[in-house]
Amino acid sequence: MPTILITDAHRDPGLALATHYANDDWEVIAVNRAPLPPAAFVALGANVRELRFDPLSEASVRDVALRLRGRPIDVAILTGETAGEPGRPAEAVDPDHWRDLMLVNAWAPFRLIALLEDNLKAGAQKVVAMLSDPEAYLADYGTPRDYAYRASKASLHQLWRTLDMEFRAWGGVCPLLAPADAAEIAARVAAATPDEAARARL
Amino acid sequence: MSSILISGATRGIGLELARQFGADGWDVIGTARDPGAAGALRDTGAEVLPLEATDAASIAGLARALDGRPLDVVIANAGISGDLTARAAQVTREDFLQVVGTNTFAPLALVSALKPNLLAGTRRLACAMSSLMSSVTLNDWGTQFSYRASKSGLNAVWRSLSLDWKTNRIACVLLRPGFVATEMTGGQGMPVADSVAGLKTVVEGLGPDDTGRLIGFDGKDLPW
Ligand SMILES: NC(=O)c1ccc[n+]([C@@H]2O[C@H](COP(=O)([O-])OP(=O)(O)OC[C@H]3O[C@@H](n4cnc5c(N)ncnc54)[C@H](OP(=O)(O)O)[C@@H]3O)[C@@H](O)[C@H]2O)c1
Repeated sequence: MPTILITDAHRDPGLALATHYANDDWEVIAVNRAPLPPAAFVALGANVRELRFDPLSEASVRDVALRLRGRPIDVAILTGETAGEPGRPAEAVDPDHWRDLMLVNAWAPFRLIALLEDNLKAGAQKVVAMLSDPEAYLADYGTPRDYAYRASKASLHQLWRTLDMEFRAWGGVCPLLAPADAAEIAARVAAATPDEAARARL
Repeated sequence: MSSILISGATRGIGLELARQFGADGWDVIGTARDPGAAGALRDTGAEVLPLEATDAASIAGLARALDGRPLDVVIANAGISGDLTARAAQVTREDFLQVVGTNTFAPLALVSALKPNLLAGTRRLACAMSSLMSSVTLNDWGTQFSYRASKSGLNAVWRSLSLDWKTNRIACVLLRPGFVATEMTGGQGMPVADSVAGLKTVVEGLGPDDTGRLIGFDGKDLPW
């Protein structure tokens, strides 16, 4: 039975992906900021294992990595982000809010995957997909502001592309996938090859 | 006389910018974390003011010191590389936060604090030092996780700012110096005088229509 790790699987789009893969007989490791709703936990059945994850905490990332030590992971799909403050002018950007968005949206997913490199290396498919709107890095905005959010997404996209370069050495593929329904994302993940990743990376 | 403020002007690209703009008759203000150790900057004829770019109180102090003084150009140049050789698993949270704090957030905080000065100036240029490493599209060899992420983030911030400040007619432009021999690169790369000569030509030619661009020392635009 293949294994998939999904972050923020307690809500869509992570929950829809978890349901899709569980129905397809995958073992799902749900790495969640908040608990799975009880009904979802029941519906997902015996194939799901839930781990709690606080993206602001280094200890929490390490704890997830420790709990998964030695466990091959075939595919990881990272979902979930924290929204910004779209209307806040430059003069009023708050450094603490900025730092938290950088940590949650960019650093935490990167750090989690960096610490799970051995698990992914041991997996069969070796795909590490980031679900994030590529538009977020086209820098072609129609509206101004939302500085902290946009910075965090641009940083994330660059971290992911850099990760893809590094993981290539052992066959890893790190595509950035635009949001779509769960079946479509699963199809793209199944078809992900290094070339596919290159195309998906804007 | 045109005026320019350059952050991180104690050495490298910032120092050379101060030298070349000063030699051309510009009124130059260079910032230094430790003004007492900024002899080389002072020797260029620049006025030296203290700035720790990551400290809100220090930025506020700089803005107070410059209260009421028009500035034509501000170049947020101060930057750090962080750990350039760390593999993914070796990048630390401290390194990431320090690099994005200095290279991504601090430039926004600086030009925001100096917005009244820019508005009082005639050229109205808010520039930030980006890098080839900022381009996601051109990233085909990896490494430099924190640094790359910080400069990509800076690009997004500046693009957004360029829209925000259009109504003020302040042009927000990203500059790419090229690969330049400074402390940051361990002395590898092109002579700093060559890069800065190109950057100076670019800056002198900028106008409101250039807002939101990412331009190299060679005058060429870089893809995001
Ligand atoms: N060299 C290149 O090839 C290259 C390529 C692309 C982009 N860049 C960018 O160009 C800019 C200048 O780089 P460089 O090569 O001239 O680097 P550098 O020789 O290391 O000089 C960096 C300058 O920034 C200042 N600085 C660093 N952190 C600061 C902080 N927290 N507060 C205030 N000042 C601070 C330093 O001041 P202290 O003297 O106090 O340390 C120094 O004056 C950077 O933004 C860099 O990312 C450089």
